[in-house]
Amino acid sequence: MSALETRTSLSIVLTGSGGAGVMTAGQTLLDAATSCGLYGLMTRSTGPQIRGGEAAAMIRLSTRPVQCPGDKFDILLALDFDNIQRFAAELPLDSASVILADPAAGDLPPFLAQTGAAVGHVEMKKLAKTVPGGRISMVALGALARLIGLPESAIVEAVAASLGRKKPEAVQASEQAVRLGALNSPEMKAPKLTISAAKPAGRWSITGNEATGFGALKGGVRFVGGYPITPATEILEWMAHTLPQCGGVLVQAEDELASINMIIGASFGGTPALTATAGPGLSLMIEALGLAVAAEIPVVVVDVMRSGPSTGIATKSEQSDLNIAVFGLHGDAPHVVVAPLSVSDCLMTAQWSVHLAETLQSPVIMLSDQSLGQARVVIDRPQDVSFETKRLTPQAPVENYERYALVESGVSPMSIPGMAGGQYTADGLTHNAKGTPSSQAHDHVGQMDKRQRKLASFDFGARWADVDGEGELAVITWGSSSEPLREAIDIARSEGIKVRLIAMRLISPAQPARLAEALKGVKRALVIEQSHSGQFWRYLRAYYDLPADVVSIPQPGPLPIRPREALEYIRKGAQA
Amino acid sequence: MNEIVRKDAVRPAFDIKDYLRLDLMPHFMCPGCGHGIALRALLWATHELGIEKNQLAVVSGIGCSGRVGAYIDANTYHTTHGRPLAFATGLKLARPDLKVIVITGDGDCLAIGGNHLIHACRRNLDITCLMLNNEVYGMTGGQVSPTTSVNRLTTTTPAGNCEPTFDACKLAEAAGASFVGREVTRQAPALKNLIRAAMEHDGFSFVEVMSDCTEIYGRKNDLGESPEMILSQKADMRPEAFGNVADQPFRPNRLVTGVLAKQERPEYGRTYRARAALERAKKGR
Repeated sequence: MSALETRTSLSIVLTGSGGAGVMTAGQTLLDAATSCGLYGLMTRSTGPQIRGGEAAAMIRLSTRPVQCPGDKFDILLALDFDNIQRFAAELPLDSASVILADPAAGDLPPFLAQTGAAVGHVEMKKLAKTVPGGRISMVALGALARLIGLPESAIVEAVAASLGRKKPEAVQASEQAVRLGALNSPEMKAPKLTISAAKPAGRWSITGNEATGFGALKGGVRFVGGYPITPATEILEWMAHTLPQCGGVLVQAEDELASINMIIGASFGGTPALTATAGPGLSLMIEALGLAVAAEIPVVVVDVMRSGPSTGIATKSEQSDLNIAVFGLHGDAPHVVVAPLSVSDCLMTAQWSVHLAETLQSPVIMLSDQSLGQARVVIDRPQDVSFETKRLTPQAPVENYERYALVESGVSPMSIPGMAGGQYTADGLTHNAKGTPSSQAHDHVGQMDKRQRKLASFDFGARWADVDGEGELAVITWGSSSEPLREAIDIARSEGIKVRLIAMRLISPAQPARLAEALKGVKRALVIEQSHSGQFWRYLRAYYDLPADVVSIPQPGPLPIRPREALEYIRKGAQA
Repeated sequence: MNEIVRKDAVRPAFDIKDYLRLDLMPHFMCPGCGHGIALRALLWATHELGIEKNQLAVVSGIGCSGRVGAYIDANTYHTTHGRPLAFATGLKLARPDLKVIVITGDGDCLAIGGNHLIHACRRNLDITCLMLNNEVYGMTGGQVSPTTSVNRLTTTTPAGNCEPTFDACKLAEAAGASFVGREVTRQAPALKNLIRAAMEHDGFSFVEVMSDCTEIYGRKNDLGESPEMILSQKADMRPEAFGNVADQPFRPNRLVTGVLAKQERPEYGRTYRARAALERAKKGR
């Protein structure tokens, strides 16, 4: 096979109207590829409607782990062309791409025709009708599998695994449809997959939202209060299923005001607690987060960011809640803000969030986003990490208890209801060391110092950022923007460009000494993020000493930052 | 039902000082305020039920009622405005062993926190909610509340209130509260008994305590000093003269007190845990 035909990474997008089975077909394709030894990523793009709108399953398959979308799609598999123009900007294709479509779907939309991509036809609808219970998407998958060199049997097995033994007739219909699609696959030149016969052991197929839930559970969370909101809902759904099995409780609150207060209540009772939401929900929770800061109650709030403001684009990603997460609270309210750097990193970062909250008796906001939360990756089993997570509690017998004692570390022992002699008032009012409301200046300043001190003096360790490479050029980024940059930097380095990557996982409190160390010798820094106003760049300018030459490259959502774009920024940045 | 309730225990006579944080005295309540009587009734009932202080959690919101909880030597939490029921829901689900009491006010519970009230009633978690109704936002200086009687003067209704009022008890009952009661602060032992019955009830119990705000509401509306206000609570807190004002669908012309509604419904926390255990058993098979 020629180099053109054997690829290390293949990007495929499945499109169709909502409800046509695009997401299920995408999942089947990913599962099938996984069983053939490939790694993969599936992101989803949908319109605001749950059904009847437009849907795209975007899949990248590779022999190496991949956690961000590629630069363009090698193959577009269109179940129909309804509303496909709404995705135009999200479907980069070129003349080397292949479009697989049903002739019954009509003419190629102009934006697709302009790409110069080769078109192959399969009569999906017509063929599906010949099989009782046959689905169009299965015919399409069969044709696709044959085209890219994926065994049809892998598709059939994936369908059988997902439908289980419950529906043998549906599995049979799918098998027939897949075979029919394969037999009718067009003869055309298309990129092929490199597959291995051996089914790899120990791989995980997991979404960012599932990983977040799992990480939180590993961290010790046993209470969740939440309110449904796209794109965070899957965390609640995963937890609703899993928590009760571990002796925990999930309650669906009447609104976000309730969910945040419920988790503060549970945590006051001694149970590590979490809620998950998106921007509009975080806005509603902000007041109570201030209470958790003042009363020093550990809680974790996961914000799966989406494009804002207001309802914005609820189904698509952006990193634009940084400002509200860091600065949204009224008063001086030091708290922790962290961000996972990839889909798989949601696992560790969620676990770390619980650890930080419990250790520091502080609210922690974890800024995930739609591109992480609703993306599914196939990865090697992540390394187990463990933290010594234990809330500092007073020694029995408790006498003359001072909940908010001005201790050096700032972390004073927190009594749990039921500890004799440990009763105190947890209060949002300014209070003294005992917890008694006070409006006196020295109590206010003393307690503010204490709360500031516990974050400032804590050693957050190497997890604050992923730092690697050398040279006078640095790329500074955070959260989900990190993965495309890693990929771009790999290519840049292969071109001989020396560039450092600083991908920040800990957003607040700022770590100026650590960043100064990481930036030693750097003359120019590119700040790359997914926001319109350069929120991250402004945040860095406010809290850090940066090199004189800083280029802010903010790219708003909902389009992902693609490795090729980032590479262009780096190449340009490397020029004198 | 509640393992922590030990009715058979031999207890010394009730002394409110055993339950208060005396270092916080003098308290902040105005002379003649009914909230102190409600606090005493709650602690009296707690004493009779033999609940240990470290097993008692009192959650309050913001406003005059919100400040009452912090005087109790128990696990107390002063939450944000309107949210004590949400907070208590999390606490009780996480710690079913605790006796959880919510102290809230008419503004805290029915205005900013109204949504939490109806859903707490609906869920039927074993929490006792005391709503101290003084018909006004006292701490902010006397603004109209959802229970301010029609025609009353407040700083935001200078021409007299023209909004209909909520009957909190009917609201709670309609929303599914399995125990609903009302009492006036004038009848302290009856109030204690009602609160005790509410605390003994297995499920969500709602008690409206007709308190009085003498300093702000009483003065502004010329309702007399504290004794007059307390004495008039039952007789003419709802003046007959206003009884025929239109658009008062919820407000009873004559105040009804005592247990107003009681029904057996599955307690939420126990139902949740039972279901979870069933699922676990299924998985284990």
